[in-house]
Amino acid sequence: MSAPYILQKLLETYNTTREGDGAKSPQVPLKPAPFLSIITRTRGSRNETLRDTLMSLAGQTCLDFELIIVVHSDSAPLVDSVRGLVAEFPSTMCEQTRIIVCSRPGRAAPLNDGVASSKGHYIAVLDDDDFVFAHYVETFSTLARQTPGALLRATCTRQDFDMTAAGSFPTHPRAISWFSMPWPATYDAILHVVENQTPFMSVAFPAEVFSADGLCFDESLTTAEDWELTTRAAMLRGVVSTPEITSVYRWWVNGASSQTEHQPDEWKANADKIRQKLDAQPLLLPPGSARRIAQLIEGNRSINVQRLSAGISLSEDDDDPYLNESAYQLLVGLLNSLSWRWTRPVRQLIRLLTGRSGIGLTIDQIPSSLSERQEQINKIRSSYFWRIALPLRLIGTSLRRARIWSSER
Amino acid sequence: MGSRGSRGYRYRSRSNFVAFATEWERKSRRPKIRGCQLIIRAQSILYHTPIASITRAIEYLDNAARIARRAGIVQGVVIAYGDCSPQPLITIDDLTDLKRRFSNLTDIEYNFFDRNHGHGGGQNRLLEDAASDLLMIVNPDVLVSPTAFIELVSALGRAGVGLVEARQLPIEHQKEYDPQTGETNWASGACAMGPMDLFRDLGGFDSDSFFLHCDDVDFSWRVRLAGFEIVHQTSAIAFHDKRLTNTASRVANPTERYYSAEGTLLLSYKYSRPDLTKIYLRNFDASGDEDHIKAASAFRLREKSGRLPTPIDNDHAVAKFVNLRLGPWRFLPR
Repeated sequence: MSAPYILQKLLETYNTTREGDGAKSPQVPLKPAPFLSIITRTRGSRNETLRDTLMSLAGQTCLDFELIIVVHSDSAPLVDSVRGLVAEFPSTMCEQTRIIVCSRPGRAAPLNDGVASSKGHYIAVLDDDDFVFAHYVETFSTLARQTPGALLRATCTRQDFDMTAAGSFPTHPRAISWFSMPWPATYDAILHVVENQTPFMSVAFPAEVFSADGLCFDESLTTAEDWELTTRAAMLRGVVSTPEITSVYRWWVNGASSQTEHQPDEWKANADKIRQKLDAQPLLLPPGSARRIAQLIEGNRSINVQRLSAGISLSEDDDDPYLNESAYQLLVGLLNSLSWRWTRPVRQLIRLLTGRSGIGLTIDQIPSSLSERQEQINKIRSSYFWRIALPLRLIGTSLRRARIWSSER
Repeated sequence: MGSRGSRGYRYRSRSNFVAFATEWERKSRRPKIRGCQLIIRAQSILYHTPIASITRAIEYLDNAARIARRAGIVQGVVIAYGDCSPQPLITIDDLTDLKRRFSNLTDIEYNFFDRNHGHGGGQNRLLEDAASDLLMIVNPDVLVSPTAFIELVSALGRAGVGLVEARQLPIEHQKEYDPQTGETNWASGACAMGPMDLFRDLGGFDSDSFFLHCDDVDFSWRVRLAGFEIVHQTSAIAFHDKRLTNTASRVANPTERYYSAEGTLLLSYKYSRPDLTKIYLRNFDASGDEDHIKAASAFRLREKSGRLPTPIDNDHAVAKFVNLRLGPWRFLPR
């Protein structure tokens, strides 16, 4: 692939104007825009947790935000129930909140509608069953001042909940664990090519991601739509992170959640699709990525050499010249070893007497492919004469150690 | 009143509160919810509390009053502040402005004590001239949910309930509670409500013993000794700005650590668990933690000067210490 081709592909990939249906730019505000637009999508069926979400936003230390609740439902009663819930709050909260309705199918559709309706300089998404700490908006604001234009990433914690239904009492969420930290405090661009490590509400996107960069949520994805957009946006804008824990991901041990509503196969299919999309384009990685990639490859190589030495077969995907050379050196070492050389006369005699071929491999006959070299290594290691020569090797090792020890003294 | 409750909350309360309980039984224990007759009084103690926090909390109390009045649950809501700060936090003009802005409240009272009486002491002083059906103890920076009054009153309307607490957000307290009935071991003073008469008849908070923390546990256990249940009402939400460290541990300042330690020692002693008092003292002495060591010293000083509370609950009917913790917990915080 030539350099001009890569550059062209990069520009084509990251200068896309529109993707998918329903994508629209955020509105140009007529009056001073809020710092943050928070989009909460809801189907109107989780008002008991949506109330928690609203209360946690009510308690923010920084009130420079707008809340856009996107009701993803055609049902008028459900929409009305959400309106009724919001109307219970003080007028200051109501004035910061807008409710819009989205009737297009798919998880990502309400997000794109929310983005199109937003006026904030940054956009975050908070699900209707999650909640935040009091400094959620304030922390994003601090990060934005530090690194304007980048994705803002705070740290998210997880807490286990069950949804308890108790006779005539309304269902309510009940915490059943303390907070855990399954996601790292910093954004690893390379790791995010493999899997999502950034819960949706822990990141705020600059509005330019959707307007200037032309990105939008992929409405063909039924899960992991956040991972897909975050990874692409991060490549363009970079990410600034903080270890401050500002949000809580409710992990439901019972009741409905995205984990239960979408089967593992569906999650895998969407993940594969996302990786295919990433694989079809050049990747933009932040400074320090070259070192990370080198560390990963070297680490992988080291593990594979150990697997080779232990006789564990490597897959075709593990074949690389370095590994092949390591296999060659390992074979040479085995063929030159005392165990092998001293037992050679006995092996030749047995071959003559029995007519069996045996392992007649010499250094100049070492095969060229990794798989064949692995095969020869395993044959030698599993051969009768190699095993019975174990005491010889142990004596040899002990003598070498003793020599080293005495020379150090 | 026999034993009731479930999952370890059974009690057989027949201590020196029998006479009171019988009298209380004779009168109606439940606040009479008829039309719009209830008056709720919410009391908070201020100490260097930022005025912005106070204003925001009032906004949400005002809103909850609006919702409760519209639902016909209450007739009026009064907020009373006791200021233990060295200088007044709220001026007369501030107070006038607050009353004007938050007109769903019947009144906002402000008392500058010019002395730090501690939480329980401050609450008791506010109680002296108080007149209402229900009393809510609430932290001055807590935001209550719109239906908080409705939900708390609803819980108090159940037979046998003497005190009800709201669910805290974002850090829910780890105390165990019955998921069916909400029954729990004690109510947090961050946001709890009970009949005014009960507070008076129990003599309010034990401010001689508990300056800042654990006064709510003590009061709750005395409510239970009097034969009443404590209920955790999950549908009533109190947003209480607490945060985590970067490793998801609790953030506790030295004041909280000291008074929690002191409170735990006093609770174990007051509720007739001298065995636990000894263990706590030993653990605090050996902890290397300055606040715990100070608390242990302060306890010993009280002991020498005869200022320890009189032990009660000799048959351990209500006070539950589980693995040295105050009552059973659903999970362990870090």
